[in-house]
Amino acid sequence: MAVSTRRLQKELADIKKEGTPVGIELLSADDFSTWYLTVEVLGETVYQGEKFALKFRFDGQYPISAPAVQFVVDGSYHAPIHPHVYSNGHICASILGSEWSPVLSVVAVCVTIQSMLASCKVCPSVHPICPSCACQCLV
Amino acid sequence: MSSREPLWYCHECHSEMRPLMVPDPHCASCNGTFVERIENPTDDPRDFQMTDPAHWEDGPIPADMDAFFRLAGLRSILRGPNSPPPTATSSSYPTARPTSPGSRRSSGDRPRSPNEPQTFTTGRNNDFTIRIERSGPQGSLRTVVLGRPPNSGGGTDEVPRLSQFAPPRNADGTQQDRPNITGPMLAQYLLGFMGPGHGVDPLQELLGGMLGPPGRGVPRGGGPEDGRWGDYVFNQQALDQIITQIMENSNAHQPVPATEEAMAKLSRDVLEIDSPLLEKDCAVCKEQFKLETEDPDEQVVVTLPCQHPFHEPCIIPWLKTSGTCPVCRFEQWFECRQPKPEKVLDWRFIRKRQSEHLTNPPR
Repeated sequence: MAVSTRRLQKELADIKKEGTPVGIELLSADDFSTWYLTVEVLGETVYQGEKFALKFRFDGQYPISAPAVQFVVDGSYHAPIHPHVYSNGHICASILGSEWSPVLSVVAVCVTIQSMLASCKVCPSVHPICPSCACQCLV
Repeated sequence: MSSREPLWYCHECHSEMRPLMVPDPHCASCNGTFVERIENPTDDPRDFQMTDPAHWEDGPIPADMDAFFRLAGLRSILRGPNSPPPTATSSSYPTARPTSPGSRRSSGDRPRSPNEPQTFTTGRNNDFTIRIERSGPQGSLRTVVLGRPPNSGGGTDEVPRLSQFAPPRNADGTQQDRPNITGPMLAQYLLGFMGPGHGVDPLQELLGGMLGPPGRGVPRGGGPEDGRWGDYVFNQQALDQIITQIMENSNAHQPVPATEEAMAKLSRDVLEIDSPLLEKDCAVCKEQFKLETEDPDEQVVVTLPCQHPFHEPCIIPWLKTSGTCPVCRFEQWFECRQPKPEKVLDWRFIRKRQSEHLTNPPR
């Protein structure tokens, strides 16, 4: 059994047993390679009333290797307008790259991204894309 | 010349070019910001090449050089402490005797023959020399030499790179074991203070930039605070900026694996019935340590120097990726990491890691 399978089984069992944090829901986890979760940003933010979907892809080395995480962009969902999020759903976040740690989990990544969105107080229509984002950013 | 667009001259790489104008004019070949438009034929910057030995002795002195000598600190070097300040029309400055290395005092004025060269040497390595020569009562043939003497290593007058200044410095900006700032460097920096609109004492600002807390420097576009005067910086902000640039170029922020040697030295415990580890979890697989396992390797618990325990088969693959603790990110491999060329630490990360470690003490 792959390392990732065992760890994801454990995470899935924990989600089913203890639930997910407020604003985060498990959309689907049909296998141990791709999961979908939804994220809502609570409180008075520029994303009020919006619900975004996150797609997690895991390789066999998870949690040693970071999951590939991006916002779902299709007929039902769109990517949030945010300096660290590309319109195709790509997320520029250090914890998904060089700052990843195996202590992090699917739920922890969701909470981080939720918090990243919540911290965006400026009206997104006037918020420029972070110029340094492509190479390195610190969430 | 009037019909053509004027050329520009880069004082950093000594080339004529057409600069890139965004955001500020900067040299198209070396990216230096010390560029000047060649407008006035009588004040051609190409005649003033401080670092070219072929131009040591000739070439007119730009008008700005007068301002150079009004720098408070230099003035006291150039003349005795009790002598009157030079007047604006004076073409000759009060004289002073050569000083011995390390000594910046020059006592009283003493008449000298007009053609006698004067040499002022500062710094313990004699690397920085100010030489002033006058000839004739007209005073029109002053020669000012800023830099190392021409015989002190011909051909090595290139602008130094940042790496030469990388080792830790003393508080006053000098280095302990290596040569001091070269003369061309310092001259470039000092000339940077001559820009218009400076009401403050340049030397005070210079010292403030060196000694003051980060962020105290007066922000000016393209000024020394931006760390572009020949890659030499005097304050924390500019240093951070350059370090960040190097970081991005060298990928030093990428994780560095732990060495085999370091991993072999880690504390390993085989689980036993009364082991206190049985109450703890492995943070990688999120499972509690237990005696009955499918894989006998999971009976072996590795405890990192920060006291965080992990299953051996869980932590070793991670350490081969990144030599940090997954829980607290503490880098225990500081001395035994694999050598990485141009490894430069990002202080922001260090502070972050330290604070994380402090707020999450090992359990």
